[in-house]
Amino acid sequence: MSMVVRATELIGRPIVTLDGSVDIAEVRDVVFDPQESMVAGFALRGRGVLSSPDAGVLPISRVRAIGRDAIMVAHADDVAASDVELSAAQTDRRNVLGDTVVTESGSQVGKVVNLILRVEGGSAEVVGYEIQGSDSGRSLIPVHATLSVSGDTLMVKDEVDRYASADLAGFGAAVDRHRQGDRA
Amino acid sequence: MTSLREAIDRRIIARDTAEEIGRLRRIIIGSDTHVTAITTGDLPQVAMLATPAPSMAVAAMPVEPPPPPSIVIDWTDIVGFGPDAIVVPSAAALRAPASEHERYAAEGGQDLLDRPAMTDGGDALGTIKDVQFDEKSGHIEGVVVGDATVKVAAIVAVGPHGVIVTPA
Repeated sequence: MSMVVRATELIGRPIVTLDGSVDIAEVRDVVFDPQESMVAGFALRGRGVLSSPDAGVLPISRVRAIGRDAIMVAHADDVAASDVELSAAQTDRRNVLGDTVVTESGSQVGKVVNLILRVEGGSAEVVGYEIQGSDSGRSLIPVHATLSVSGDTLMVKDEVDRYASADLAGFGAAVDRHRQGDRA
Repeated sequence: MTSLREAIDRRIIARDTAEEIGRLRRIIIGSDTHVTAITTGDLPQVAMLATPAPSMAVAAMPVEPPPPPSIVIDWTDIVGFGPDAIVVPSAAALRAPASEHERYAAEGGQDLLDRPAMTDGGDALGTIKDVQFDEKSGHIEGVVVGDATVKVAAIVAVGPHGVIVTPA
């Protein structure tokens, strides 16, 4: 069963081992692969106020499940000190958070403040963006309403308003409808 | 189907003497989500003995640990698991813990009651109020969280973060 969440909701989620039910760390940051529009993994910190701010990284390939309350791994060894692919994704300038959103006809509509993920099993796909408009209102747009992305700008279709949702409930279904419409 | 919470402290009676030989304290769960044994008591802590040292600082040293008590009964030795008593052939059914797993369980490491439960998919279920198991086969059928009984296909792990189950 899949669920749609904001990427920031994963911050602070504990990493729990299936072999011993031990929470070994928690999510400090979500690392994205802009090329694949997928979550590449997680940067971790220790649990507790006095714990280490850097507790390694967890590549998405080692994740067994992303749940509402915990991220499950088989055992503690699944957490690594570093990972080449995650490091590359972290430095990729096409990470859209904070990007200015501009339509193809040249209007600035806001700024990207969050990524919307569809989580299923142990994977997480970027299915949309949360935009904060100049009027401080927020809206969700599916990733398929975008045309291109650079280090500081996200280019979207002129008719982006047609695809926008006000809240998360039903956004996943709206994304599916949009995708089916594109294939029709 | 039997409730673990109701079964705790139930009398264990030897069939040959009709004498009570203990009361149910804990269940020991195997990797196949079956009860493999029950215990009648707790393992004692290792005793420490204070001895005077030349510096007058008190030093402590562990004494030789006593042999583990006979508090374990194999599930296969149980003749009847009834609503009022658990019957075994004789007091000879009692034995000491035979493995690290049994010692860990006898010390409470596998206790399920009042522990938080979570699915293997990372979704919290709630605090375990009771455990339902088959009194003939020993198979653990479900856990009671809140007002609901969650049928389990397997108990994946019991540890510091709680109990991880695979829902049926």
